[in-house]
Amino acid sequence: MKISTTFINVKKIIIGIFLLLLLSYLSCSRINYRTNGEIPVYLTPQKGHDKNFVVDKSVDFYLFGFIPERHAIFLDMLGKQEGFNEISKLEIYERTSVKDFLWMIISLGCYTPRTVVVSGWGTKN
Amino acid sequence: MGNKKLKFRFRYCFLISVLTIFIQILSSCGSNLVISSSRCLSKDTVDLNRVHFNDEWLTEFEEEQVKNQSTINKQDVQKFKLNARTHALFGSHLPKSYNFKICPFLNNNLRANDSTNDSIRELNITTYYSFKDVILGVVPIYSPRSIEINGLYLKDIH
Repeated sequence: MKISTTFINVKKIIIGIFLLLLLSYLSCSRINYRTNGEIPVYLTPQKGHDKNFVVDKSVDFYLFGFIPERHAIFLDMLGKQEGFNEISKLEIYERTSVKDFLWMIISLGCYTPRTVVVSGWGTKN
Repeated sequence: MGNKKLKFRFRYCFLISVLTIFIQILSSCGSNLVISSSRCLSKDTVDLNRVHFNDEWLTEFEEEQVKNQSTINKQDVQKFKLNARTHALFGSHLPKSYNFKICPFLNNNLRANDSTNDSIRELNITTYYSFKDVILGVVPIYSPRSIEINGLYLKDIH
């Protein structure tokens, strides 16, 4: 009888962990890429843009990605922070790193970060 | 006899859980998406920059910023909203990362033919899991993610 109760409890715990993991995997993280008009941002190649840049940015989401509802990344601000006047040929690489995944597991979905890597070419003064 | 049966069920349940967590690790660690401009050509005009209209009131700072740019008539502009879905198996392990080539997608959906000088401006890109993605992704073998692209389509005015 005792073993049977323990088994049911363990089963409940395992199902609970599984559901939490499933929820964290299905996190509703919504990332928005836009500009604020600080510097020109082009997707097409531009003349004179000969300097390469790579920016690594961690985007924080909470409660399976429900908070915040939308995370905005201002691409022009990223370029400006790197000292560029104009940026072009952008590549946006969105991923869940091993570190992000471990945070997701440890916090049981309360903290679900994602990593965004933005790379491109630009021109400086 | 009862204990043996319980032990077997416990082991079975534990094994399934470990396997599920392993698949989750496999799929989550690899859910990668690349929004790429690799096939954007110099002749295409695709950017995220703000469009300034003829009748728009600008601050001194904005006027300074746009003094070398031409302003545009509102009737030459058309707002658009497009949706795309990335497809990947086991997170994004197959392929390693889903490469969404934005320029061919925009050209196919917006431009009538390659020779037009129309431009695509004020792009606003959002990646998210739609309800359909969540339902399809419950079993982490197939892991889709949605992309929403808003912007302005400017007809060739030259």
